[in-house]
Amino acid sequence: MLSKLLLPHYLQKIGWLILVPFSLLLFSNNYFDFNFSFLEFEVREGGLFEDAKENFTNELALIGVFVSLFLIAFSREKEEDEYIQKLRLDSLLLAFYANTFILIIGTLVFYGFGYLEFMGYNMFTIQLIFILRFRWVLFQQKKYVLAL
Amino acid sequence: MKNTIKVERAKKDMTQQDLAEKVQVSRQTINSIEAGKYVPSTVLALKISKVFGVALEEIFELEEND
Repeated sequence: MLSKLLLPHYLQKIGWLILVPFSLLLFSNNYFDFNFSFLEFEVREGGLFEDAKENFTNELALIGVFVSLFLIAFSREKEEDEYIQKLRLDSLLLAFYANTFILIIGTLVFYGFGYLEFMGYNMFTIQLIFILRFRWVLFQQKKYVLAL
Repeated sequence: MKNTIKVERAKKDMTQQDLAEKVQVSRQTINSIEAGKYVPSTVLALKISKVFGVALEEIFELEEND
């Protein structure tokens, strides 16, 4: 009866482990122009306005963060059961609601100058809100159960 | 939906953990069912009634707003 689409539990730990370096990389790439020189490739013929080389540090960091959030969000819990799956579904729904809400607010507020940056951050809201809500409810439950 | 899991557990002198292990769910699940926060699936409800050895209707009871 349980969903078989979830990843094995150990991938959750790996997700948390790689989230830290990739987030740091994304942050330093975005705000301090940090680039790995070995990720620079010639991708096109250079022209007057375009450099022939492209650095892929940014792409690596973004994909890294996506993958780590994905691993954290969608790997099985140690004790996965129907109640946990209901929590999962509820949290996913809440994350989608929040994402739509933020999207509407952001479009009203940031349309124009900062819109691209806003959308860039907004790419992570579904995963982040899902993880935060799901973890929070589980944490509260565990605390309550342990107190009994 | 109301349930008498807590009472049945007390009769059998079982902890939430004992029952959770017998029906193969987490302790949180048993806890939320007892608290009325979660309605178990038919499969889980049947498993619970089997553990207690009583009829399903004796453990789970519909409420007016169900």
